[in-house]
Amino acid sequence: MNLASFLPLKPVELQLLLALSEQELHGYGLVQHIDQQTDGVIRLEPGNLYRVIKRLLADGLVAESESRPVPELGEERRRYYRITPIGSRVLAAELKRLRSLLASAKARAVVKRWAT
Amino acid sequence: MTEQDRRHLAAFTLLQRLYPADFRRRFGADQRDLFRDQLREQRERRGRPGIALYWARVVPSMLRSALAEHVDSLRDRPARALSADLHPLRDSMLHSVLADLRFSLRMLRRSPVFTVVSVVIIALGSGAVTTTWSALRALVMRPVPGATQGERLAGLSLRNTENGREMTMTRTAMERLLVRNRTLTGLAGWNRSNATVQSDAGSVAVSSVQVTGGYFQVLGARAALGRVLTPEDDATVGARPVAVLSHLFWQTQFAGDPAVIGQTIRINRVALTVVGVMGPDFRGAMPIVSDDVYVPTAITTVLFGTRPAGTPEYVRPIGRLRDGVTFDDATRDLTSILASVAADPDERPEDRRRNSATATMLRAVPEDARGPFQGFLSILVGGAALVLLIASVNVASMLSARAVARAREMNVRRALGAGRWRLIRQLLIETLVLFAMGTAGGVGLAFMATNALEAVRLPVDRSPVIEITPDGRALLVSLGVSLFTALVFGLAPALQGAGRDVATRLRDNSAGAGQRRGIGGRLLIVGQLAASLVLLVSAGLFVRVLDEARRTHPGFATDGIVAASLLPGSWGYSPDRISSVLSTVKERAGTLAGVSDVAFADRLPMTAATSQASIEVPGHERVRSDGSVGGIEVSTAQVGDGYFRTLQQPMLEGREFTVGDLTGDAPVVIVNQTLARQLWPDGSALGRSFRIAGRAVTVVGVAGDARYNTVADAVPPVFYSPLNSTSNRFLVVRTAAPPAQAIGDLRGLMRSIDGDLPMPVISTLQQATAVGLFPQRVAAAATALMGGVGLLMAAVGLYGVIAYSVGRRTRELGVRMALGATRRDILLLTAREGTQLALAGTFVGLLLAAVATRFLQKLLYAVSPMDALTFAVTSSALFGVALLATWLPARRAAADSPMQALRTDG
Repeated sequence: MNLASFLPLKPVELQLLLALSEQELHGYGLVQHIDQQTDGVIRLEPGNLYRVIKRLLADGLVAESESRPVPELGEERRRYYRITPIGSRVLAAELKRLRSLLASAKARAVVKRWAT
Repeated sequence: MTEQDRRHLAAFTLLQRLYPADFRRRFGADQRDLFRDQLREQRERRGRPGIALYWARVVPSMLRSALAEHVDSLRDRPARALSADLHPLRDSMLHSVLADLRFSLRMLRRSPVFTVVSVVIIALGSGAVTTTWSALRALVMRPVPGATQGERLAGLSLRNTENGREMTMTRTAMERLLVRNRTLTGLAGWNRSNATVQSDAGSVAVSSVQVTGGYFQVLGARAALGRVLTPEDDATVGARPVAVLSHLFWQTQFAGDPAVIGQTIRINRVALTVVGVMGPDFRGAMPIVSDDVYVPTAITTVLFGTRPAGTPEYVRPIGRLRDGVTFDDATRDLTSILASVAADPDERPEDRRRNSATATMLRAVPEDARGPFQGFLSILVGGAALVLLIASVNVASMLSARAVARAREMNVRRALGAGRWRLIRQLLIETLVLFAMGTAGGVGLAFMATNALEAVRLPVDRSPVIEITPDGRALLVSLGVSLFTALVFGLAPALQGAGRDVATRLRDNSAGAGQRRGIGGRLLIVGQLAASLVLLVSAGLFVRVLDEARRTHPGFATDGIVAASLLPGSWGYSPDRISSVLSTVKERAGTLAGVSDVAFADRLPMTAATSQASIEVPGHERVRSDGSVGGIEVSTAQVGDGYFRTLQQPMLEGREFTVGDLTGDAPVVIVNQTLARQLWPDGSALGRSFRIAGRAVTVVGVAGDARYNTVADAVPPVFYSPLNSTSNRFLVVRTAAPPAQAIGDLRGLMRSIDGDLPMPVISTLQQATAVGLFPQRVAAAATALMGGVGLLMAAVGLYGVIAYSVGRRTRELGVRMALGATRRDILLLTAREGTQLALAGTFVGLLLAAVATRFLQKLLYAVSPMDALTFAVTSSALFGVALLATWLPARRAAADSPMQALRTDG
């Protein structure tokens, strides 16, 4: 398995895998989680979310878990998603890539000069 | 989930149809879940605006990702289905279309004003078409909802060919039909009554439907909870006190509690066991009026004890066609049976009265009322289609103007090697994207408009309930119409933009006076003006009807009268008790503050509620088709003592009914002036007599004419007889108190008499009589709005054409001025073109309107469809606006100084 062929991940994919790396989540849970993590920069709706999920499912990075009741919603059931082992490895590879990018001298200089 | 949520979800589900089937199967349910969750969150956090904002995010995101999914699925397919060497071609084609699409979106985003204006215009047009079409379809085209194979369900309308009346039929006559017919698999009857449901929380007035045992079976409807009523429930009189609830009633009265099955409810103080609840789709055999509870006909006499024993039970029949049988076959079959029953002297007289039946598909609006509905709604659909046409034309002319403005870009692209087809495709895609966005907006508008329409309630006992949520077919029609207009109107500018050869077009930028705008643009303007005029003339005619209605004296006073609709049959009292309560109500109403007169009547004037009766007057016989002699048909109403005084309807001769007439069942009548003149043209009507159903009555009074149907109709001949039963009636009160206070007082009075009685509908007579002209009011408002929008768009279009042509001729005008032309000359010169267009538009519009308004005739009553005043006023208004649209740019041209004009290079 060539992990590098998956990289770089799109920001949405990265956030989604990150969210799932902590816990299994259903669609609405994912949206809320990502909204908080990115301060509302990445906002997902039924349209774009399931397109991304479909792609990640096809690539085998996430998998469907069973449908089960959501505690906050009473008896209503939702489908949960989980990250696969490959997904975790791809996520780790991407984070490593980003870390080395952030650690590069060039990146540091830019941040030092321009970030407020 | 609330009703609101359901509608949002329905709209979302429609959006999902855009996705490939594969995707829907896999993620459809999850998408809907997420949608519901986010909708809930938005509502909780920001309320209505939040929901609107959320929709604004959801729609584009769904459109975009659905498109991308389709592209993906196309891309995957060739690899499997097509041979490999076709694949690259397909792929490159796809890619270029996608590139065009992306480019289109970018271009539209770069000119936001143009984009927003076009999208709004198209949305208005397609929204209007979808809304009106949905209403037409839901009311007069679709079979009743909630039934199995609704298109095989027949509503039977019955006639007596002698007097042509539409009637219900007796239950026994219906059973004859059931046994003898060869065209139906099932036949059932139903009838609706007002009833009261008593509970600890108070009493509510409900609409109770008494159904024969086969009712649900014929409709093919199942209960959502428990069971439906069966033939066993209806077999023995009074044996099974059971009821089935409608979904709405279950929701509102029992908060959707499933434990209601087996519980007891009290209808008209009689305890019934709830055995079932219907699903939300099921709305009974006449969905335009909502049903609350269904009970077997076998308990009718128990529930409505005020009816004398032995009164024949009347029902409206519905049937289901056998396989391979048409409605016409059923009509012939049933008519022959009814005719043979009618001819059989051994049958009971009331069973023999109907001798023909017409079977038609059972729809929301019953057959006898369908004609006017259909006519009215068709007018609105026609008007909306005109608006969409005007809108599309407008967008087309804007596109065409853009095509000219972008001539340079096109030329450069062609010079760089883009094919002509590619350029056309690019423009077409832009047009399609524009129209797709407009239609999406139109669908949204249609959902809002139909919601608003469904919420309209009339001040009557059972206001019609219409469910016209746009269905798939209505959306398809709207989409089809916009697509058609997009292609027709989008193609023209595209061809115009990409048609000529490169060299001409590159030179084209420095045009002088030479090139003039094509004849197409002018025709469009003329067409728009004409279409707007048709709408404006229609609006004008409806306003005339309403104005006529306002000015015609109805023959009685409408000011200061409050009317309460009392339904004693649903009170669950004995006849004696009803009589005493009614007289208490009347007595105490007379003592309320400001009240001067009180009376009862079985109907209110001018609410289109009339009954016909046959009277026999010597010298006025009517010869029937079979040669026998019968009476003449006149209208009739029953009124109590003091009625004419209360309504200030003058007594021309004789007297009103007295209390003695009412209690003693005296053989007396009062005739209106029209009937008196018709029967006894020379001499007084007082003291004359005629026979009603064989009983001789004497005229004791002649009342002034009052209008009964609508104000614009001719006054029919009417006789009034004393209201002496305990039947349903109106309490009319003449009061000096403000209406709101009078209505409040009456409510308090009803409560104080018996808290268990349902609150009657109480309104002013003005409100009640306004119902009669409701279609005209709606039509006036709708056509005026559509005409106004159309005229605005046409004016903007005209302005654009003139401004454009003036702009192109700036240098020419400069030369003319330099050579001595005055400002006035320039103004006239430039205004001439616009004036010609305005004249042509007005002329064509007048011709079209003269044809179109014929279709309105039925709704126009006394006003002629060719009413000269209306035509004159609306056409001069249109011409005036058109002139203004011409004059503004022309004046600007004339204001330029010659030097300035000569210096411009365009």
